[in-house]
Amino acid sequence: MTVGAGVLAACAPAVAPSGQTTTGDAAPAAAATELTLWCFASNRAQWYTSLIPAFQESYGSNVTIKVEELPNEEMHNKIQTALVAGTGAPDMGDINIDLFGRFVKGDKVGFIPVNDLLGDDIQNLYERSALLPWSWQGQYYGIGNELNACLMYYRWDELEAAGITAPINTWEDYVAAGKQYVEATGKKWAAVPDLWWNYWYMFAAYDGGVFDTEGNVIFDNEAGKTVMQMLRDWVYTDEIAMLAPGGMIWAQPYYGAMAAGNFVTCFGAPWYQGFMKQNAPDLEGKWRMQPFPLWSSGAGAQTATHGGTGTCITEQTKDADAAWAFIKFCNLNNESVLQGFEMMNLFPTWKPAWEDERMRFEDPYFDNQKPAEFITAVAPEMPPLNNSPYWPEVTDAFNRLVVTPVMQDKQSVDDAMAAARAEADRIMQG
Amino acid sequence: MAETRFLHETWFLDLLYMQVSQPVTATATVQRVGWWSRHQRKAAPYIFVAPFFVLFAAFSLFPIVYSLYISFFNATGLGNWKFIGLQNYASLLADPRFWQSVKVTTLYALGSVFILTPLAFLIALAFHASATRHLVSFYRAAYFIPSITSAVVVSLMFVMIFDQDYGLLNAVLRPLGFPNIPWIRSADWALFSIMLLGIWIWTGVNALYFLAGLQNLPGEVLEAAQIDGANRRQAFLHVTLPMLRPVVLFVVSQAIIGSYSLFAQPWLLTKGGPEDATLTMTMYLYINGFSYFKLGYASAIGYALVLVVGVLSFVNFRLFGMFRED
Repeated sequence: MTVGAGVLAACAPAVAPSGQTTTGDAAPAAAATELTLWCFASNRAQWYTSLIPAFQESYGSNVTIKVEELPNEEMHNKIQTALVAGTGAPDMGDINIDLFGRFVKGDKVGFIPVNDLLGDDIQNLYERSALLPWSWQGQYYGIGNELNACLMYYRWDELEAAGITAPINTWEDYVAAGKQYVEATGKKWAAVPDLWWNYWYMFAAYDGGVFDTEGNVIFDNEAGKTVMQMLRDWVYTDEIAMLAPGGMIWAQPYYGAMAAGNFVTCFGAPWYQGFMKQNAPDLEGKWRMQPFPLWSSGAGAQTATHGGTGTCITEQTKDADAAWAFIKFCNLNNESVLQGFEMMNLFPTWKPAWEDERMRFEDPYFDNQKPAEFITAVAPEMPPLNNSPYWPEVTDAFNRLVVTPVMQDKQSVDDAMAAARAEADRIMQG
Repeated sequence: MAETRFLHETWFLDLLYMQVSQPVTATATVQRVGWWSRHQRKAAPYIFVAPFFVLFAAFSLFPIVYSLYISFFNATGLGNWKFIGLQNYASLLADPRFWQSVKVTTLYALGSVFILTPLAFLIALAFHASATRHLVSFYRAAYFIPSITSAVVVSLMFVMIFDQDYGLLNAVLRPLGFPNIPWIRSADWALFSIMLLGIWIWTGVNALYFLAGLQNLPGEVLEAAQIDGANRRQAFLHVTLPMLRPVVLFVVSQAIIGSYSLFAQPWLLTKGGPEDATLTMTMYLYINGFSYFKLGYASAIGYALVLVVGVLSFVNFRLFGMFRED
């Protein structure tokens, strides 16, 4: 075992930026090289593996990519440990958007910046989804390939039966429609998580979020308090929502309730659509999507981002050129990202791919609507996600000191926010 | 006359200098006997245990010592770690979440010692009774199975059993007039639910420890007590229980150590929530070390845990008279 402290070798090999945006433009490496890529999602592992033959054809067969799948938490822990130890890290790693913050603590980041490597390709990336979440102090460390613009989803058949017209344009209309639905059917309009901060992106949609661009905590600003109060009121004042069975949107009881029709509206990113299809397949054709409602004052955005995965190059890579060539091949060309779209239902951050015919498909699950039309329409409104080294601690504090006590009606929004602010201040003061 | 060398404290120097001695025979032929030939009997035990100690030193001893070392550093993230002396320990004392984890873990340990252990003992007594002795083999297997089942499998099962709306437990209790209890959803119930799970997992194996103790009690001592006029209650209190003291000490020590190292079940069921109601010390250590990437602080938590467990174990040993010469 290698003693970690003081022996880390920072390596940032010089890599000439590529000005091209198509495949097959990089010179092959001289010697045989095997690069390892760690990921935590089966579908991404399958996508990477499917692209390796084409990559080798364009870059050179002397470079092989070994894709290894590990559980989410374990993978990130192992990368951390390897970066501290100075050995054992993979060449590339899929870094969860929620877990990137831990890697920017300390004096250095264990990943190679890709700003110079991107060159002109940066113009073709939707920066707020592709780069910002994996950036720190102006340096981009990863490429995310998921444009996770959140939308609202509704059971159009149930709304029609209850005499409710859609789309719903304002949050005030949303509540009114919910009351109408509850009165007409006796069932609930929505299910709100109380054990996890699944709906935090609604803060971002209302000019809020967790951190601002300077790294200051902002979850308790006017937007945060308003949205938190709104979610709480849905359950206890307006009585149009239930607490999500299982407490969070990825609990099995939540999807059981969805499949049983116990609630008829929900919110989420494109990957959430995949969960809906997987867990409530019998509801195919009964859902539709629309942008987020706005506030009647005009405030708010019609979308926000939620979730994502960025591929980063670790400083321990054997061949940074080849690693960047593979990441570029996967994320910065139409064929690769569209293959990912077809395999994973993930909307690409590579803008040229949006024009492809495959992106204009009609989704039978959502009554043959075209998801791409909605996502591309709202994407420009997406508020930025500002990361921070304190992201893990502060979001954890927000979850346990605000979300759960407020949604379980144990504490008022003001008191909960004050407690969370005090905790966040304590955390950030060290 | 043979010249001999004895293995002494500087025997390891012989490894470097390899001095040899030879027996002198009547024919005056000098035979050189190698160092290994002279010392192999004494060196062999060390060589046989060396693989274990090498691995122990590399993968256990070194991390333990290194962890103590970095607990004196601001070892956060990557880069240069700054020496801060006892600052991590001072921060720990002022950290409300740390004290919450101590409280949660201690409550769980109290439940283990004062609920689980007596329950295991009662079950062992029931096994030991002559009326049920023919079923011992069956119960032994049935009660042991939970402790050898994967913690992940058990925990995922109990997530579903404990679910407030669709869980098996509430489905059984609802017809009896109980409300939908938020077993792992409410801060008021979550720790109790973790304790219930712990009781389900560990009562059986602890009952087997007690059963083994009961079955190994010398029968003649109990007979002597009966001859002396002791009734069953007196024999139990004054003969059986004292003779079971080593077993009780072992079970209680295991309960304390196991409670303070509890991680898998609360992590899988509740992730320490809701509102830190099930945040154990080892979980807080893990969160700080990996989720927050504060290795120095996590190491300090680790050594605080060592101190707590050490003190409690010492108290436990004193309570059971372990250091007395009986």
